[in-house]
Amino acid sequence: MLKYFKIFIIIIIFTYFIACSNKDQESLLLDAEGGNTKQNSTSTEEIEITDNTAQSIQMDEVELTVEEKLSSELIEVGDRIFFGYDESTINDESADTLQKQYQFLIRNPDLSITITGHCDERGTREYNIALGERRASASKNYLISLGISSNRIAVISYGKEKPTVEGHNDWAWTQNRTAVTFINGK
Amino acid sequence: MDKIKRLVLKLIILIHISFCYIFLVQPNIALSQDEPLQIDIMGGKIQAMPIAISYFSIENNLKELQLHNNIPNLIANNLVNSGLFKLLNRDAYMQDPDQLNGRPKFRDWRIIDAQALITGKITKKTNDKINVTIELWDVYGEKRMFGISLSSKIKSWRRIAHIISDKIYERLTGEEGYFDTRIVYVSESGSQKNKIKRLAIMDQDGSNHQYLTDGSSLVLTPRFSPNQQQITFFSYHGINRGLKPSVYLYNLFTGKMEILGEFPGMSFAPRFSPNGSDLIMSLSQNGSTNIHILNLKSKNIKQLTKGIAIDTSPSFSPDGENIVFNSDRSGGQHLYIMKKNGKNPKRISFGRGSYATPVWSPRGDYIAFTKFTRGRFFIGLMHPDGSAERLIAEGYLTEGPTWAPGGRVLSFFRQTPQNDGTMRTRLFVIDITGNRERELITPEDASDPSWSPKNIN
Repeated sequence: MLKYFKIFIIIIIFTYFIACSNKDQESLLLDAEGGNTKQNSTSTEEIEITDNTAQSIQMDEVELTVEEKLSSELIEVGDRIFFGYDESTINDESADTLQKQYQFLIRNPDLSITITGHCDERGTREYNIALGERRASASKNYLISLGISSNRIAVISYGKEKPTVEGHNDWAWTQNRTAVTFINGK
Repeated sequence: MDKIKRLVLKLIILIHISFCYIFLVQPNIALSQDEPLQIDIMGGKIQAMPIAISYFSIENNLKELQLHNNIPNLIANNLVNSGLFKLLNRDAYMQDPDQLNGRPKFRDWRIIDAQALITGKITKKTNDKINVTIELWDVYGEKRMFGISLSSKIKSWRRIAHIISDKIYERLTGEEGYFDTRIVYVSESGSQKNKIKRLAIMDQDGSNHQYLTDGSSLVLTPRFSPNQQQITFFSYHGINRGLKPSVYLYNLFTGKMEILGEFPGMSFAPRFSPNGSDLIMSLSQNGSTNIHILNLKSKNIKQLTKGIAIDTSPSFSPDGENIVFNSDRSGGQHLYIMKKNGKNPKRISFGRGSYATPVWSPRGDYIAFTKFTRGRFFIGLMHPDGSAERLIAEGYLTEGPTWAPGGRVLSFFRQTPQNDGTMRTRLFVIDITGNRERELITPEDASDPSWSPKNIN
């Protein structure tokens, strides 16, 4: 019985605190609004400033959308696939990623993309340009096989010139053997 | 009292610093300018020919230019850097430059064991022109081997010295000289992820360094045309405007850069044909890379290899009849030779590991290449029939051999990981014996060297 009473007390104290803190917030908000309304009646200029700030923030958010949003969506979907050393085969994981890229492209039929092919640093410059092209093309051809039109996809190879991560070890090399999909700017 | 003490102390420190600057820092700067090529003492021991190069005699009104010292010094620098000669200390010379007009006293030079002696004289030709006469003497044979006289503008004194070096080298070794030449390469700066790469050109000894592009677009693999007027290279110039990464031409006289043409897919790995009329390169499309030849006049392009393999890094034989290239058609990367029309491809490399970037020697007897095996990169040589394979340099990454005229000396680049995790990328020079390796000093990191043919007089 005493136990229950204790719990009861704790709950009451707890809810009281929550209520208080809520009340504090509410009163703060009210104060602010109240202040605004007060100012509204006395000084119109200040209100306009606050209104403008609010609007400009909203406008910024609008500007951030389209491409940025789509790019981050593409990154969430999976913008890149990885390859083994000196390889360009699409493994199951890559196929899964490309399937998702395909669905993304179906959802956004106006988008065109560029796939860049990359290699680790353990190869000669010219061969790696060719190998990167082969990797990017593997990615492109998989998307085409799923039904994406080839004229929506451009391919560029960077060979070993633009690694994703810095470093000279197995981990870095694994990260740098990729084909990365980008949305083309308008 | 304390104030004075402190003041004196400050003064002493100041003087000390300026002394350090004058005597330690300054001479170092001067040294690196005068001797950009440094001999790698780890390169192995060789029997270098001991030679004496006397300072030259000079007209009094020219003395202040120091050419009577600078020209023989530059000649000595070239010859010593070849690894084949040893300069005898001038303190031991018993005849002064002014006593050396005419036949030297050979006995005086035998005492210091000079095999050969070089003497010279500089006279004024016109206001801005000088005349340089040198003579090469066989000390033990007690005879004059040859003499040559050159005249040019005073400001071209380095070229005079390089041409003289070539003549002496040719006379004493029987090989073609390579001192009156230049090297075009890619100067690198910035982080690994965001490298800034610029085309740069310099004399073979590192002097007259000059940037050709500003670094705003990525440039790779420059190569000289046989007449030295042009450089072809691969660049990502204009990709923001929708251009594909492509082969470009740069005119050294006009400074103008133009795209070679717009092709289906990327074009890269360009090299001139020996007579300069054509360009061979790779075109990449749909995962396969094939070798093409383009006539620079008609702009007609012909495909030389077919198939889904990667065929790249083509290089002509000096007679223009054959092309050596790198292909993965058999699975691994190997070297192949085909006729200039693409017929009769024949594999020439059969060792373990990957073979790439073959370059035919200007003499025709060797093919230099990059090899990757057991986690290390090597520069190697083999005869065009694939025989006598031998590795002459190695590193974390060594790549991109290029031949100096004469086919006896090569340059390549090497990446060496540093303790702080960064990478040092530098140019090196080595001869075909693999014994005499030295670094070619560049202002920044450097890769993709291409050695010019001999300068045209």
